[in-house]
Amino acid sequence: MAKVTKVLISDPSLRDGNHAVSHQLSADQIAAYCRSADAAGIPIVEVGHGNGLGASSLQVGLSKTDDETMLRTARENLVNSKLGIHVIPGFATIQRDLSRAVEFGVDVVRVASHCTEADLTERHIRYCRSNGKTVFGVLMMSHMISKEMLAEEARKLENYGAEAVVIMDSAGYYLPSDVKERIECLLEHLSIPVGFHAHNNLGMAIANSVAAMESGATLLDGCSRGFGAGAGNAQLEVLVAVLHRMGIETGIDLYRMLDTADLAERDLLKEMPSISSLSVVSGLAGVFSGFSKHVRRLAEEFDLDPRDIFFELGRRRIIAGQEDLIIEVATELATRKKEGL
Amino acid sequence: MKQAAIQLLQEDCARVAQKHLADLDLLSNATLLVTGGTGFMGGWISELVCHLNDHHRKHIKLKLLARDRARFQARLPHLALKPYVEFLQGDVRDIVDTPKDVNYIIHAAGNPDNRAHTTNPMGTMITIADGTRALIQAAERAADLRMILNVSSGNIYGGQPRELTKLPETYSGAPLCGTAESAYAEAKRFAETLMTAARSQARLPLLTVRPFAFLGAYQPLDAPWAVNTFINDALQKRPIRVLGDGQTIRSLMYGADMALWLLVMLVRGKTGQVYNLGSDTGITLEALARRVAAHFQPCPEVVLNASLSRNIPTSVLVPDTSAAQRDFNLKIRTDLDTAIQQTLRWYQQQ
Amino acid sequence: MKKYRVAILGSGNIGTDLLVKALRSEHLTCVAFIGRSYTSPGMAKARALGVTCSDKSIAYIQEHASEMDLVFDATSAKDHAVHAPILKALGLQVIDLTPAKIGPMCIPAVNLDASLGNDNLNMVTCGGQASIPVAFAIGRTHPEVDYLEVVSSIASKSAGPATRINLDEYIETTEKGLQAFSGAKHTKAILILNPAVPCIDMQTTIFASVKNPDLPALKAVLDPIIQKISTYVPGYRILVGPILENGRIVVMVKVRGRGDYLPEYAGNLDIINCAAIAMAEEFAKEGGR
Repeated sequence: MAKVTKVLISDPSLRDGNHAVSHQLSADQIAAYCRSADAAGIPIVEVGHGNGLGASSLQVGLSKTDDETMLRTARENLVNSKLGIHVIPGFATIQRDLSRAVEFGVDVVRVASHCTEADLTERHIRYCRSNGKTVFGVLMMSHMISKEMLAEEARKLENYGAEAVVIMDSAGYYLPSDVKERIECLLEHLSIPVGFHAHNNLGMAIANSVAAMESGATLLDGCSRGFGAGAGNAQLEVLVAVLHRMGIETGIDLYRMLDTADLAERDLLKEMPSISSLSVVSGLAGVFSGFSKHVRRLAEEFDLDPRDIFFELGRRRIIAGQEDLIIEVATELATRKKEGL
Repeated sequence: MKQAAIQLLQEDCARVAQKHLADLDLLSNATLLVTGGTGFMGGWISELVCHLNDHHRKHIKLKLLARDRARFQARLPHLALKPYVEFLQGDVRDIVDTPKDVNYIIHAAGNPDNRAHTTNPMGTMITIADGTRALIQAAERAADLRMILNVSSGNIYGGQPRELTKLPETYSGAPLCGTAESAYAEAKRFAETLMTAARSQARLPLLTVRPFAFLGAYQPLDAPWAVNTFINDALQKRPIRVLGDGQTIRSLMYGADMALWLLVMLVRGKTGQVYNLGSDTGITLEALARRVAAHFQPCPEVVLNASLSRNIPTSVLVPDTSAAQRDFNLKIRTDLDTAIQQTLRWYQQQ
Repeated sequence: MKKYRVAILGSGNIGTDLLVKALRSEHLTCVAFIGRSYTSPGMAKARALGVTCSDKSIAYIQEHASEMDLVFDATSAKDHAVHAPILKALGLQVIDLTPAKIGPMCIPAVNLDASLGNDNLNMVTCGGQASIPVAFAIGRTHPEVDYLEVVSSIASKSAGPATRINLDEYIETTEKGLQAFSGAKHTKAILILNPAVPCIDMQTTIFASVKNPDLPALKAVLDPIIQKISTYVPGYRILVGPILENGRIVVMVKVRGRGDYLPEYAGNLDIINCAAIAMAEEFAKEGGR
C-alpha cells in the first residue's frame, strides 16, 4: 500500500454535535460556524440533525432548526468548503428529504446504514449518482461485525456507486489495533477510498484516527472540540495538528482551525465533551454514544443506575436509531427493581 | 416513441446491415424467438428485424418473450403495430413450449445491472439457472430449431489479467468462489455449461456469445455504466464526473452493431462455438468522458475525482474479437463518435 | 354454509402466508393461488396443499372471474395499479396488501364497518396495522394532536429485497395512514432493521405530542380497541404504556406472528395478513358484495 500523504477531512460538528445539544443548534450558530470553517479551509462541512436528514423526531429528538433552514444557512455561508449531509434510509426518504437537499445545493451526500444493512442504501445512492452528487457510503456501529463481514457490506456500497466508504466507531469501542485490521481489510477488498469516523468514549479517538490513516484511510472525520454526543468525537483541531506534525496534507489552515474550534467552544457547545464515567460504560458496552442523553434522562425518571441501562442495551444489541427501546429497557429494569425490593 | 427516434434507429440499422444482407438471407421466412424481448438487446434486435423485413423483404417472424406487457408497450410501441412481431407475455422460467415453428432462439433474458445483483444475489442466480433450464427443456422438442444463441457474459472470465491487452474466448479465467459478488458471473458460467451439456446430450444447436459493454438507445440513463453517467451528466448540463483517476479501460459497442453481430452469428455460426461480443478498441474513462463532452456546446467540464483515488492497478476489460472478424467478417461499423452522437440524439428525442 | 371464494394474487412470502391463513378460515375457501412463476417456493407450497395454481397472473383472474368472490393482491404497488381497474371491471371485491393506496385504507379494529361498502380496500402497511389503532385512540381522546410518530423495529431477516427497495414507499404510506386515522397535523414513520440473532419480534412505538394529555381517557378508548385487535392478531400486545415520558405520550406494542408460513418473529408480515383475512371473513359473513 502506498503511504498516505493527504487526508480529506470532513467536519460533522454541525451534525454530530447536534446530539450533544439535543438538536438545538440555531441558524445563527450554523452560519457563524460555517463562515469560520470555510475560512479555515475545512474541505467538507456536514450539517443537520444528529441522525441526519429527515431525522428530527420524538424518537431521537426534535430539531430546533428545520432541515431546510439548516441547509440554506450552511449553503449561504460556505464558499470553498463543500456542504455535506448525512442520510439514513428508514429516516430520510428520497422524495421528502433527499430531493430537496439536492435542490438546495448539497455537494456531498453520506448515505448511512447500520453496518449489516448496506443494501438499504441502494436507491438513495443511486439517486445521488444520477443527480451528479458526490456520494459516500457510511457503515455505522461498525464494531458489531467481523472485518470480513464489514468488507462485504462495504463492497455493496461500492457496487451501488459510492465514491468512498466511511466506517463509524459509533460506540467509541475500538482500540487502534481494531481499527488497523478493519481498514486494511476494507482496502484489500475495495477499489474506492476508505474513511474513519471516531468517537472518544475510551479516549482513543485521535489514536484511532491516526491508526486508520496509517493503515491507508484517506478520509477522516473530526469535530471542533470533539463536539458530539457523550464523550464526543475525534477533536478536529487536535487531529489536524497531529496530521500536520506527521507531514500529512489536509489543506486546512491550522491557526484558523484553532479559531474555529474556539468559536465552537464559545458559541456552540453547552458543555465541553468529556469522558464521563458513563461514557466509559457506554463505550465498553458497545452502545451508540448518541444514546447518552436519553439514558441519563430515563435513569433519573425511573430512578435507575444509568450504567445498568447501558449494559442492558449492549446485551440486547440495540442499534443506533432504536432510542425508543431505551424506554422499554428502563421500564423493565424499574419493574425488576420494584419486584426485587 | 417519436417518429424521429424510430427513424434514427432505422438509419443505424440500414448502415450496419448493408454489407451483411446476404448473410442474413438465412433468416428469410424464419421464426426468431427472443427471450428478454423488452431489454436493450431485445429492442435493438427488433429494430434490425424491422429494417430487414420492411426494406429487404426477409419476412422474419419475431416473437418477443418478456414478463411485462406494459413495459413492451411503453418501450417499443411502434413494434406492437408490426404484423410480424408478436409479444409473448411470460417468464422464461415457466416456458413449457417454444413456438411450434421456431427456427432460431436468442436467449437474452437477464438483468445485467450489478446493483440488483448486489442486493439480490440469490434471486439473480436462481433466476438465471431456472430460466436457462426451462428454455433448454422447451427447445429440446422443437422440430426445426437451427440455432439457439445463449447470451452469456464477459464477466465469466473473472476479470482481465494485466498481461493480456485483450481477452480472447480461449482465456480460462473464472469468477472467484466464496463471494456473493460472483453471483451473476457464476450463474452465467453455470448457464453456459448447462447449455453445453444440452448441446452434447440433446444435440441442441448452440452458440455462446459473451457480451461486454455497449451504448445506445434502450439503455436507461441511470444505468450504472460509466458512459451512461457521463451522458446523463452532460444532458443535465453539469460537469462530467469521472470516479477515480479515470485510467480504467473499457470498450464500447453501439447497439446497432451489437444487433447485427448477434443475428449474423446466430445464422452463420456453427454449433459449439463461442464468441466475444463487443468492441476491441479500449479507451480510458477519462478519454471517454472527454469524447462525450465534445458533443456538447458549451463543452462541459470533465472532473476527475483523483484527490482521493488510490494507487491501485488500472482495471482493463476489452474483448478480443478477432474470431468474429475472421469467421464472419464482422467489424465495428459505428465508430465511437457516431455512436455517442446517435445515442445523444435518441435520448434528446425521448 | 357456502364458503366465500377467494383468490390470492402474488406468490411471494405475503401471498403464501395468506394462503395458509385462508385455508384455516371457516368462512373462506381459496380457489386459486396465482403468481408469475411456477418455480417459486410459494407455488410449491400451494401445490402441496392441493390448491389450484396458475402462473398467468391477472390473466387467470380475467378468465376465471366467475369462480371467485374476492381477490387479495399481494404483488407490488406498481402491479396493483395495473390490476385495480381490471378487477373493478370484473366486479370482484379486492383487498390490496401493497402500498398502492388506490382504495380507502382499512384497519379492521378501527373502521371495519365503514370499510365493508368499498370494492377495493387498502391494508396500508404492516407498521400501519400495528400502530394506527393506537394513533386512532390518541386522536379520539385528544382534540389537538400536533404530531404523531411511529418507530418500528423489525428483524433484518424479515425484510427481503422487495421490502428493502421499497422502504420509502413504506414510510410514505404509513405516514398517510397515521394522519388519516389520528387527525394529527404532522406524522412521521421510521423503520429500523435490527440484525440481532435470535431475531427480534416486531416492535412498534407510537409517540405523540398533544395538548393536555389525558392518559386515563386514552386508556379507556385504547383497551377495547386492543381487545378487538387481539381477536384477529393473537400475538399483539402492549409492551409499555400509555405513559407520559419527556412530554410525549408513549405506547409500545409488540407483535409476534402465528408462524404460519413465515416465522414467529415476522409479526410485521403476520399482522397485515391477519387484518386482510379478518376483512375477507367479514365480507363472507355479509354474504358477498
